[in-house]
Amino acid sequence: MPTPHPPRLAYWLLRVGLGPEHEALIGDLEEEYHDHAIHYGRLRAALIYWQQVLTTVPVLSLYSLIWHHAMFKNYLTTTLRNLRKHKGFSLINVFGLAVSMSVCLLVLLFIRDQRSYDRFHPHADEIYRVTSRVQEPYATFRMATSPGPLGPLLRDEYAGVKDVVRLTKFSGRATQGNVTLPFYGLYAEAGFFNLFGFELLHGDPQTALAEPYTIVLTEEAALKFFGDADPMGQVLTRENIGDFTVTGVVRHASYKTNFEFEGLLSFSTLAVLEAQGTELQLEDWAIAWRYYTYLRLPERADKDAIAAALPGIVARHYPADADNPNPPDLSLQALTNVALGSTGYSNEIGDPASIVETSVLSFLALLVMVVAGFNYVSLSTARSVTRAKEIGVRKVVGAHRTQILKQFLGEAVVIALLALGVASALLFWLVPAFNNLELMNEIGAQITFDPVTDWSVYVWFLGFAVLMGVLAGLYPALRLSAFMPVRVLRGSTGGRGLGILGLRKALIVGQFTISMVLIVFALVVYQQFRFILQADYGLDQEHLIAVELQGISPDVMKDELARHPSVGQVVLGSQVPIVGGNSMKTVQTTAMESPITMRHYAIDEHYLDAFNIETVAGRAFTPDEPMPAPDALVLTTKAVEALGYDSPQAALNQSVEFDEASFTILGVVSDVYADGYEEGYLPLIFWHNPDYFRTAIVTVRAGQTDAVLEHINATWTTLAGSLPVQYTFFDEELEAKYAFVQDVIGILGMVTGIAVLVACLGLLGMASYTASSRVREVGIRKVMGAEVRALVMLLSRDYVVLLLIAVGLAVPLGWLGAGFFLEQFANRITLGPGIFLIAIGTLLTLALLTIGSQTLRAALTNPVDTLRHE
Amino acid sequence: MDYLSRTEELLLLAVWKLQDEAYGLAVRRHLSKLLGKEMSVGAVYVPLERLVRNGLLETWESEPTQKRGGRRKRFYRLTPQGMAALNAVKQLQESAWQNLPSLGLNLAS
Repeated sequence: MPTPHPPRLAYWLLRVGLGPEHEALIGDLEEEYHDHAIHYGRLRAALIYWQQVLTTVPVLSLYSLIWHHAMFKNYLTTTLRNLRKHKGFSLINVFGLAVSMSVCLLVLLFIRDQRSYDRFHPHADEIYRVTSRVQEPYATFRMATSPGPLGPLLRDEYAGVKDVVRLTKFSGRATQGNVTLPFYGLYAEAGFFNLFGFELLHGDPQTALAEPYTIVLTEEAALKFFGDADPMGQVLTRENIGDFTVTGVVRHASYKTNFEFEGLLSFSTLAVLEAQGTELQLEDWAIAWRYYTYLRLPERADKDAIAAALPGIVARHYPADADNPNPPDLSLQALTNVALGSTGYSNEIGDPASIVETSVLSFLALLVMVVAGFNYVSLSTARSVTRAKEIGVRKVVGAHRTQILKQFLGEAVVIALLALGVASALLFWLVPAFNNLELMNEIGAQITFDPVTDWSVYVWFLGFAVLMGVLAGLYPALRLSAFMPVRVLRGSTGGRGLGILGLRKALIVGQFTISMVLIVFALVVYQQFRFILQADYGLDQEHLIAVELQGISPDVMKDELARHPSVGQVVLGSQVPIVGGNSMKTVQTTAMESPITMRHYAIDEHYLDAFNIETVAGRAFTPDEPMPAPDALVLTTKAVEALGYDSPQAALNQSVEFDEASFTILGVVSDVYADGYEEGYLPLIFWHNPDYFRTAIVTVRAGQTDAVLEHINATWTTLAGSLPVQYTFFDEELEAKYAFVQDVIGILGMVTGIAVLVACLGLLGMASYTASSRVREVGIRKVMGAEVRALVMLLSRDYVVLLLIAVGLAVPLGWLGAGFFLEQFANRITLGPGIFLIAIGTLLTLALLTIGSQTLRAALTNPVDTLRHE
Repeated sequence: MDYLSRTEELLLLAVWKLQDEAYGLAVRRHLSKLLGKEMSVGAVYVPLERLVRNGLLETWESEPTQKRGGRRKRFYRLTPQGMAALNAVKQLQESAWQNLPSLGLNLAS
């Protein structure tokens, strides 16, 4: 039987990586491979062999590197000597790596921060939550919540399940004495403090949430309502809900958690409320959006069993007459996976960063790192000529190839470590800038970097730097260690400049392609967002103020506000258009099989007028005509289309099922940008239902904003007492809606800048290298009468060709990428050649200046200086 | 003198047990079986070589075989120091286990 050979590449890696002193080990692995091949077959044997090689080589080469003391010292000396001797090269390498590395480290810190949430619970890795995927006819929702009855069922019927805790969010207002303030938090079952690691400052964790109408406050909330007085046993009144007795205080601020609350109310209260007639769907298997189910599964086997049992549980209990025929698809999600583990759930309990945001950041950081890594590779291989003699001598006196390999890998790691030092310094400036980003505010995260107390970060950093060093150094090391001493010592060096190495060309092309695609992308993103920000909504944006009603009677508020002469008019509605959020309701025509959801605004008769929304067909809500019956709907033209009517006229007087009642279409109005200009016109329903009024929108006469604000404040104090007033300017809201745009442009701009800078640094190094290695040729040409211009052309030609190739690659790539990005917007800019011309122009100018500075210097050198030695 | 670590002790015992068959792969297989988990190459060879350098083990080489891609086997053998070190841990173990209040374990088995 022919003996099979272990996988060639792995075998080669092993031999190069370990060297001759490990011959016996290589033999051992090969013997094992043969045995495995006979027992398990070639494929499995090959896989095991690969695994052994990959785990063995790094351990053993590091080990032998450290143990060869004398040689190690020698390598270090040569490395440092080389760094000093070629200051330019070293500087470019270290600086390029450092800038890119600092971006990567930042992302590393960000990920580390996200991973540190909710780790303080004693059994954090055994806690899971049940998530739902709800399939509706028109959409699929992934939610962090699950049906209410699931928790008790799991608790009662499954043995391996520990500490099931249901939670649900609440928000509203609470009153203590004469203080009424906004108040939010969670209803939590009694086992909350068993399952989670929050510790009580006061109160008994076992009983604090057992009884109905009990509450555990955070320290901050206790201070807010009770001041310095002891809150224990005191009563806090939740508006329309009831009186709650404080049974505990928790120091929420000292925990890094996604569970956000000012207070925890006992879950048993909900049963009482439901018995009194509030619809809470505690027993409804068809409602998956309301309750969070958290549980602890100490045994892996139980976890798998529960995960497998979940679909069956829902199917058994799902009501046959539910509106949605598909029961939710339930699954378990580990608590430690909530941050970074998912693509985002609706009804999320806190604001964890989704894997999407993190991936985009990581991808950009890696891109920059790749550009810097390319620099290292091309500069080191270019330098090989100067190093060739050293390698030759080392080999002649008996160095094995592996030793040379390790030497160069070691050098790369030393440079990476130097870069790490510079990068850490850059972080001091980068971290605060990053924390200021809107993105970070949104997810409530702040990354911290304290180099003294935060020593564990360095383990990560060092690991990263070493990895970067090895990756960037591997190719040059393999390349340099392969030199034949006979050839190099006789003086025939490995080609000049760009000559023989196709790889170096490819690297330059790669760097500039990446840079150029980034420039194109950054420009497109910038222009698209500017286009959106400059959208004309036809509104007098600076003079609209929305006052939240917060439960004050709409009519009273309207009358009081309208009293002031500086107020133009006051309209009432559920929300302000464009920036007011998207509340949806189901709607169904007689011709439709299943309902669809649509945005709806509840409005008064002045609303359409105030926002310049025109009547297209039928009649709308206007102050000139008497208010129509309460079952009247007004649709936008888009809504007419969405409901399948042929024309606005065809829709008139049709009856539709809306909000589970029958409505008649009264009229059709012009379209509205319900969710910002970028989404285009969206289908929208207007109806007149004062129960939904949440906002009074005040128009201000020009130049009288201060007077109106004073009037709003005074009116509010009269009507609402101590409750804080909440009003927003339309233009400010609009700005806030697009605040993330600044981030996107900032991050992209920075990444692009770094990529271009690093690529140009690399080019600078390469150009200076070519210029210096061809210095005699230039001298001779000059003596023969060549002009400076011709010489510059001669020295630059190679690079210009490479740049043009990069442009050729980047244009289609950029076109595709930018096109894909723009497709996400209903209203978008057209992708013209302008952006590409700007990008090409910028990049070529920078690159040519870089090359030119070096080639010109070479061309201007006095030939006497360079040729004197001949 | 310093006492052997648990890994070192296990390695020396494995070499002693395998006698003339104590080369890297055999030691690794023996330990994998004994500990019930797959030992990685690094976890065996690195400490073995350290023991050689510290003079507790010595090595000798076999003739190359076809199955090993024409490579020699590197066999390990205990040196007198290695023996002494093993003895020292054994004595330490025994005296440490002596005259303990009952742990509720059946020490006889």
